[in-house]
Amino acid sequence: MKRFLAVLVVGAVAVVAWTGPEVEVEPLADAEEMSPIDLLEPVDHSAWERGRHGGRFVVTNISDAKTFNPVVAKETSTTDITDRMFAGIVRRSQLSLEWEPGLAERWEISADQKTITLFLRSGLVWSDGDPITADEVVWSVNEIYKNEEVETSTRDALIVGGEFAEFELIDDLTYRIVLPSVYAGIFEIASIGPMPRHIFEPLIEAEGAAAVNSFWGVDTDVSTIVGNGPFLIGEYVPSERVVMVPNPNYYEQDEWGQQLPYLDEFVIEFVEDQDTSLARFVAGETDALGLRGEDYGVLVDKQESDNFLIYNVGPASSTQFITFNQNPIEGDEDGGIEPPALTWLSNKSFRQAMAHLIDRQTIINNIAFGFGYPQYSFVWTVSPYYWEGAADAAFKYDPERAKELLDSIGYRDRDGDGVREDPDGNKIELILNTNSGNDVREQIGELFSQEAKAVGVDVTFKPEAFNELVTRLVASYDWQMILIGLTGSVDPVGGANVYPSHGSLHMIEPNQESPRRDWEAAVDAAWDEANLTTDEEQRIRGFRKLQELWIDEVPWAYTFAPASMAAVRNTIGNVKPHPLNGYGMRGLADRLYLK
Amino acid sequence: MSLSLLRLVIRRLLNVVPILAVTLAIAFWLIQLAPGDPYTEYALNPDIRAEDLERFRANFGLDKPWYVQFGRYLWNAAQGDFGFSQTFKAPVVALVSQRAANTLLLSVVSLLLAWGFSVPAGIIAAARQYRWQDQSIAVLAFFGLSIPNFFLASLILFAIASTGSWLPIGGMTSIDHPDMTLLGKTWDLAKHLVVPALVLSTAITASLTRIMRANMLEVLGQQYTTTARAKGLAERVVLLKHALRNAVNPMITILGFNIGEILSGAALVEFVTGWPGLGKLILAGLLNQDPFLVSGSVVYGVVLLMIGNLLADILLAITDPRIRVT
Repeated sequence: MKRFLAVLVVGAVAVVAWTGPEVEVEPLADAEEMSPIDLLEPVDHSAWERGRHGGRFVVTNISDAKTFNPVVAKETSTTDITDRMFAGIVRRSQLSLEWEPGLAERWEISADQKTITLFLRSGLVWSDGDPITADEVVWSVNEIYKNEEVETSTRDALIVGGEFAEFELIDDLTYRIVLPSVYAGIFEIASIGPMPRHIFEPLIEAEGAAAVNSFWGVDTDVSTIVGNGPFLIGEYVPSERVVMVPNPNYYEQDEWGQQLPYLDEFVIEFVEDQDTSLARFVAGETDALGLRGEDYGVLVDKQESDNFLIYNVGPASSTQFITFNQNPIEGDEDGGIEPPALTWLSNKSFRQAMAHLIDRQTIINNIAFGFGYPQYSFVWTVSPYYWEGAADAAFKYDPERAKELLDSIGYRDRDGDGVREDPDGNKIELILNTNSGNDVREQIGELFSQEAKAVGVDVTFKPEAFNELVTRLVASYDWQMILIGLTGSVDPVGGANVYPSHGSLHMIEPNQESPRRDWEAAVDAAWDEANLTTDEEQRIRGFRKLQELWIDEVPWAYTFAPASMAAVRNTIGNVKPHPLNGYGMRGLADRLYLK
Repeated sequence: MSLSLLRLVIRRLLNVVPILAVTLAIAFWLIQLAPGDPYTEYALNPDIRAEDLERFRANFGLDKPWYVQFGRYLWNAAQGDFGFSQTFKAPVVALVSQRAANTLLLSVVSLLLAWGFSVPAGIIAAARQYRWQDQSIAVLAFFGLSIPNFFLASLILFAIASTGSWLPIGGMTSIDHPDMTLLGKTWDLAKHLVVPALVLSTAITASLTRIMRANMLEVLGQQYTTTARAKGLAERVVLLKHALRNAVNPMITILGFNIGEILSGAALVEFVTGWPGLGKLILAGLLNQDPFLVSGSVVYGVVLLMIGNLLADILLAITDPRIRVT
């Protein structure tokens, strides 16, 4: 086994050396050409097609399921499965992404906007035939989700301004949620659904709440798992596949009165990497594939002969950005950085100059093979809260302007060695980190480092292990610039840990008790304006202010959003994915059917 | 089984305990050296609070130094509890046993393939030294030795995918596997085994063939071979009865090493070909820095390795009466 470990270590070193930062990315002179995205098939989100029952749909996933328990499920490889097994009380429509009824047939919001009353459908039952009641929702929230011993991320969603939302039972089918203050994320809270009390209550009584963490793990007999969503687990073969079968007790019917889902079997095959996914799709073993830019060339000519289309699902909702550390070392406990790097990175003009060095078009053309969109804001461009002016306001690729900005703050090359010095004579040398193994980030970092060197800022690009990077970001605060990404969603309300200055992921200086910088105080105010309300116009206004500030102050400089693409066999109907976690091809499985 | 053999078995089994303790300590310490833990990957998830992560860590004892965690682990392991995988939210024993049989199957088939090819090939190469048979076997052997396993596996899978997928692209079973007859299941499994077993066996097949050839050549040069030939025995009898028996003994010694080689090679091949074995599990454990998952897999690997070596020793004692086990 020691030998085996040695092989692994040598292998890992070889891989690191092999995918290392020696990537030369040539800037493209002619940036204004037609985007290949226009050649893809558009997705029609207008209405559902009438499906029919039967058939099997097979997709691949890179990661194995980690658990079948939705309470503790964290990463998408797991929630892709548990989201199919458990329905929300309310949910976002797969077509419009607007909130719509789920297990609840309707809701009422009080005049003061702090209370939402939810009316469950009558006759709801779990897959084992036990009735679903409002009492079960209230019990699940109080005994499971709010319990400190349970490892669930749902707890955080229940907290509004430091206080829990309260769930109160009204009758068998009705309950209300009372929020401590008006909050835009009221529907996110309302979507939290019940767990089967007749199964979890005896468990907690016998073994304590911590037993929930290991309950319904991957070692469970899957036939004992009880759900209320469109699918149940029919079969699970560790690190091979999960076969999901329809839940006969699922409540939903299509517009023509047919029971959903349509499919007999929905299969997720676990594979090693994207290349194997591609090989399996080419071999005809799977029905859909999420593409990378480089896969397009392999597949484009096969569309007719292999009977599939490549769809343009839209810009990915995730963000990729370079962030600049401005966290000073103070006292013994607090980590951070020191001058001169701190002085440079805290200078707004310096950060703006850095933003002018991000060559988005070259990134898209050369790194994403043309399949990407320039990104200027943390809000997903498809979201109603995206500020249309972001693209004009943002600092675009302009090395000359970057030089002017650097000159204007006195950062000049005084000794003629090609590297600028600050007014105190310090050479401007900075380190940019990212996580190794992510090819796209490694190439963006290399390109940025070249651009920075060209204007006299000596940026050394250093990819390192993901965990090492995260430790720097959230624990030691010892970094200068980091290229990283965050997942996004329709409504940026989930970013409470990210954008306000008290957030633990407010990377430039996290966990501030009160905002250190004036613009951060303005960001905090804009955040509250956008989120401590349910008034849509006020929300749009608040997010607009926030985006203006974020673009002008450049705590983070954005790069690009990959185009999300899906190759799907023409035999499959209702292909209406969104580029959002949970709303892709797996998310719409209950409506997919075989033509 | 003779008394001395029994003593050997018992002593070897007792040896497992200190070896395990040392390997486990190394595994724990190495995991500790790397920054982060099973919860680090969630630190960048905006939906999870930093305080919650700290609490999860404390619940799991991850806030203690590694030697405290290790001591606790040893104590529990001595009582048969190999801990809980934070990555998969399940007991390590359950996870390892789900996959151990798959790795064993792949390893045994690869060993059989390797031996099935290399012994006859080595004999032919020695009997036809420097002729075309010998040359072509040498070319094959060098090809097998020089091409990296994982590369060969990807290459074969892509070749299959682009030529009409006449074999499955990775995995161990088809989706329809549970509905098949026993014969159908075996056939399905066999089809899935072809690529990983072939790839896994290439490297050792190549070296085994070379060693077998050298052994045969040495034995064929011995005086007793000349005597056998002088007696007027048929060449076939000389080769298979007199020479082979003597030439094969060193191969059995190597078998012990082969088991180790196969087990470490299996991890890479499993990863590339999607074989749901222990290699994928231990890699997941390492990537997530899941100390108990890695340790559990290490225990299994060490035990398997020691059993393999023991079997090789016993085999050797049986085939060669001159060897005395003490």
